Amino acid sequence: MSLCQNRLTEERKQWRRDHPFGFYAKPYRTPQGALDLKRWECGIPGKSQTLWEGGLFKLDVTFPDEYPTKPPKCKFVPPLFHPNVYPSGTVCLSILNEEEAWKPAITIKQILLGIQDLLDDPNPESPAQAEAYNLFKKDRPAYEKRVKQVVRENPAL
Amino acid sequence: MSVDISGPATDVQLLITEAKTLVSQLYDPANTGNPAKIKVIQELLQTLQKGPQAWLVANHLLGDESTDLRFFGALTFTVKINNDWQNLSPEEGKELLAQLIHHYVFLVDGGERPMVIRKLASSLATIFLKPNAPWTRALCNLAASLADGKHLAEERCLPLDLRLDVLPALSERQLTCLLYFANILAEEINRWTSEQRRTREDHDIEPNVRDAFEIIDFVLSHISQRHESGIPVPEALGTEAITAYQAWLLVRGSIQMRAPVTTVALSFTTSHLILAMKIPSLSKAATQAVVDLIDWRDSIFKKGHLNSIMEYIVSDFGTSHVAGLMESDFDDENMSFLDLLLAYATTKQRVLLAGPLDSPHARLLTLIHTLFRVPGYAAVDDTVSPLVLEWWTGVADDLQEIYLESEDQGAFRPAKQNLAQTAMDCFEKLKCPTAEDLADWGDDDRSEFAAFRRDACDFLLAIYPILGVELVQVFQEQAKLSLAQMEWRTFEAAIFCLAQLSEAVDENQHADECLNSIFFSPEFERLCEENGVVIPDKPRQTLVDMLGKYQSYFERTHALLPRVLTFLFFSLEKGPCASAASKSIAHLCNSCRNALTAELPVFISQFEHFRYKPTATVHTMERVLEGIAAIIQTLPTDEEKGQVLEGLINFFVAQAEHARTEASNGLVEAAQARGHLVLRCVASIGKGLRTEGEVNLDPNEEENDPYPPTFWNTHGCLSQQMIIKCIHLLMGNFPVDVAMTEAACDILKAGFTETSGPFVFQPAITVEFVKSRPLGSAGTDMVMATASAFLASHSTHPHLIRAETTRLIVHVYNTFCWMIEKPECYDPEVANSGIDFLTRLLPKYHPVLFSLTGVAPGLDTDRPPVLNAVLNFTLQSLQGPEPLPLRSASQFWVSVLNLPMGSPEIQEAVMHCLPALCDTLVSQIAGQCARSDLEHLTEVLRKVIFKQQGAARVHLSAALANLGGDNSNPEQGASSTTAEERQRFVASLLAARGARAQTSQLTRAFWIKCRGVNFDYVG
Repeated sequence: MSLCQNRLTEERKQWRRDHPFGFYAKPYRTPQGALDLKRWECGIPGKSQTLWEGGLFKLDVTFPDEYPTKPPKCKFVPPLFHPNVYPSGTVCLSILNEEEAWKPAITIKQILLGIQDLLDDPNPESPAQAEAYNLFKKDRPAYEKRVKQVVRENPAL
Repeated sequence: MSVDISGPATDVQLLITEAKTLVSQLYDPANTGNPAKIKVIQELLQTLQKGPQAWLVANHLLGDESTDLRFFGALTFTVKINNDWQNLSPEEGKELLAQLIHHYVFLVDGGERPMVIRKLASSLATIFLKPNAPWTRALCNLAASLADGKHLAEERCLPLDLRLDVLPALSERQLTCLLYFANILAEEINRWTSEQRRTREDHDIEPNVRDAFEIIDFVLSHISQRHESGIPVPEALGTEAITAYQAWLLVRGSIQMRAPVTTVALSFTTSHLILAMKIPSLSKAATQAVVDLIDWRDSIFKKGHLNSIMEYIVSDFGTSHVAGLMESDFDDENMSFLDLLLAYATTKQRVLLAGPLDSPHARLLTLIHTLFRVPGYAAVDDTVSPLVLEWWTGVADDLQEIYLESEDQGAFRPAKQNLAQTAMDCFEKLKCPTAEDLADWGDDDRSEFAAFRRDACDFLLAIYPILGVELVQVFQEQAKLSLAQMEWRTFEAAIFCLAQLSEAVDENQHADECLNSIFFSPEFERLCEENGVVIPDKPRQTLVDMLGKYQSYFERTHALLPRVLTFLFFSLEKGPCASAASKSIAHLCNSCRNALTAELPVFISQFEHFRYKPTATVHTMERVLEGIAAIIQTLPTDEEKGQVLEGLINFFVAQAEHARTEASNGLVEAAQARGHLVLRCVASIGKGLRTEGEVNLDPNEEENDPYPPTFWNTHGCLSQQMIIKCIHLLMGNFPVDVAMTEAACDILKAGFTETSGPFVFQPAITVEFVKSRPLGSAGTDMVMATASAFLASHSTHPHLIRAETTRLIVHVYNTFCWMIEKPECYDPEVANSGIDFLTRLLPKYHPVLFSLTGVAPGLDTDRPPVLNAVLNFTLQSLQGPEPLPLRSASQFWVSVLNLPMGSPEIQEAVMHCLPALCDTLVSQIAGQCARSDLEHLTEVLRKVIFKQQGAARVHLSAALANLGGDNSNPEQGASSTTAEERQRFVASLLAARGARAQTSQLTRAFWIKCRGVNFDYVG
């Protein structure tokens, strides 16, 4: 088995053994039912006592062949209204950037928790979509209203 | 002791007194609520621990009467050894070790509490792991010293046999305390990284590994004997030995040994460990250790061991644990047993499903099935099922691999039977709680149960390849039967399972017969028509979700569409179903529109009924309307379409008027909500009306009118007028919010892909709309994106809308001028969206932009010429600090530099701007810009070099030469680079000729150089 497959098998085991409450993460299956360890379907709940509370946001995580040397790509499906999420849904976060803070020791659990933190604590230094960024910067009530709508459209239960 | 650093005894005494006072304050309950004070105390103690007198203080405190002080004494030794070991001479080191062992023996014999002994053990382990520690067989030496009642020099231990001479002389308490040290030592060694292990060859751990296993075996066999003789077993000693076994097995696996300890040599110890599972006080610890060892797959277990484990599982001990679990007793012992059972079963999974089985294995398999029947709801009352389900999923994944490759599929009959049985067991567990039970659930319970259902879905998909359509059939039968009996919980679970399997069967038609048998049944028809069948909300919701997942099936089974859509329309009125139902309506109507034309009047009347219900939100209404509009699009004539549309839109015109009244009465929020609903619904009608497939905007067609006359702008223009009226009522002199702006843009965009229809407006409508939006209002980016989309929709005939293009460019120019004239009104959104608009128009409409070299017609002549102003504004935006305008300006310049330079207007403009552009790029890359801006600016730099190489050399060199003079912070900035470095930078850039990777690397390195190495992530 390749290094990538080995690591993902281990990640899966670790996740099953211990994962944060309200999250989910599992590899996709091919239409034939076989596991595709390089593509995971994950769910990130909004943190309690934040605007995002009550929402559960679906995220596709795709691992490159060079994982864990290179980071996985995390993409909200459908794309999420958030200053640091590209219009395609891809998350812009330093720990997911090979040239920035990615380290092979970062686990799936840490990635998902990192993205959960990002939801309510956007980084205005690296905007990824104009829509959410502009509202966040200049019309906070409209931004919050929109986030609440996003949460309603993605209920946790 | 001679490790004493000289100093007046009185000073030491003072320090000891101080330490005593501080420690007593640290543990004083009065201070527990005062973290600030605790922090101060801790800081003082830490200073004291690192001080030159700390050896003496620690030594003294270890002899004190107070446990807290003795603990602190031991801790101080650890800290001091870590900090100052290297300052001790070899003799001093030896003396310190002797002193600590002396304390250890003394404290153990004096009945010291484990907390202090462990801390002292940690000091000893710290010494052992120091480079050149004066200690080789630490465990043996400590054991011999304990046996001797005092410190025994290591040389004197050499002739002793640990097993025969030393260990039998130790009391159980001494053995326990010896194991404390063994455990801490192993933990510390296991904490080493592989790098440390490689570089610590001076350390011979090997003899200690042997001694450790000797001690563990001695203790475990001692315990076995006691147990067999019916004498109570010392729990603490047993637990320490079990922990030590695991810890030293890890050490054994992680270091290179000259003569490895083989698993055969450990065979007896392993047997004792397995036997310990039967000793009640040790059962939990021993079971967990066995489970961990099975999980390691370290081949520590030989066949005989595995048989013993198996015997234990099916013995009375095992049976009593299973009985406990079946009675919902999930205490640690029972749960550890479950872990053991599943871990063992994993090692035998292929055997278990290959059949026929011997009696213990048959029993084991029965137990696994039985455990799926623990009473209560999975993951809420029953913690067993989720683990058993996970085990089966793993088994199915493993089996799948060999199944698909196997030629003899008949050999899999036992496996199939077991998986089918598990599917049925699982099915029972999937039934949702009754309303009564649900009332007692908290959010956590719901979430846990939902997670179990998600895992079950994974299991079903894993077994489908092995069981095939038979699996679908099982749930189909359940669904049909329960529907006939109106057994709703069963029906819901069956529909849930079918929904999960859609991924495997919806596209390939394998299960069509099964699905036909449910959906063509008279019971289902009655359910859809609400004819004497009232389905509760939860199964309705699951059914609605399920229908959404079988879209391909319904697309090829048109006969079912009317009843299914009727059911979906009814479901719109039920809160939890409305969203999913509206989604399915939109999808099915859209993809099967041609089969539904005849149903249109029914659907419209269902919609008219629905639109007054509380569930008729923006979200649901827009989807339903999109679906209905898609069917309208299939009506044979424009007249018929127009008539139906007028009826539909008329309602929204009335609503828009109502919204205006609300706004004029000060009910702003209500007015905005209603206005938003109107605009969104109208936009989604436009979306639904779009023709299927690609629209042929034929570029060869002879055209001279961008807006040729059609039914919709001549005698059938009423619907278009109504749409425009909605926009005017709600966007003019109305408290518009950003969501309304977005919806209005969507209305305009709906017709951009069409050649004719009520949403294909006169070009002036879009231009006027763009110009009418107040400067700086939220949503400017959407408005400008609409302007770009408008130009794109006419890109086959740019010359026909030259006037409109000019008006849009001049509009952007005005906003730029306005922001330059009033810097306090600068709005990054306006800047970004304007530049972005200009960038998008470049490929097709650049002649229009580059021809605007004069001042804008009919406008303030004090303002600069249009092209000049626009280009200057983009250059300014490249200087930051706003990230979005900087990025769009970068993109703009990349696109400008890509334009064909054959046109003199373009060439002149580029030549004019190039010096300023190079200046800006260089000063930004020389450490001024943010790291995230660098890649965007580098793209422009690449284009400059690639497209304008000659000029680039001159301007870049000049720009670099100008750097640094006015730098206010010489520590950080371009002045930290020398003239040579700058020249080399330009030369390297030019040599790279705009190659992406190389140029990025060069600019990044230069940026870091200018910023200082602290900004280097890697450095």
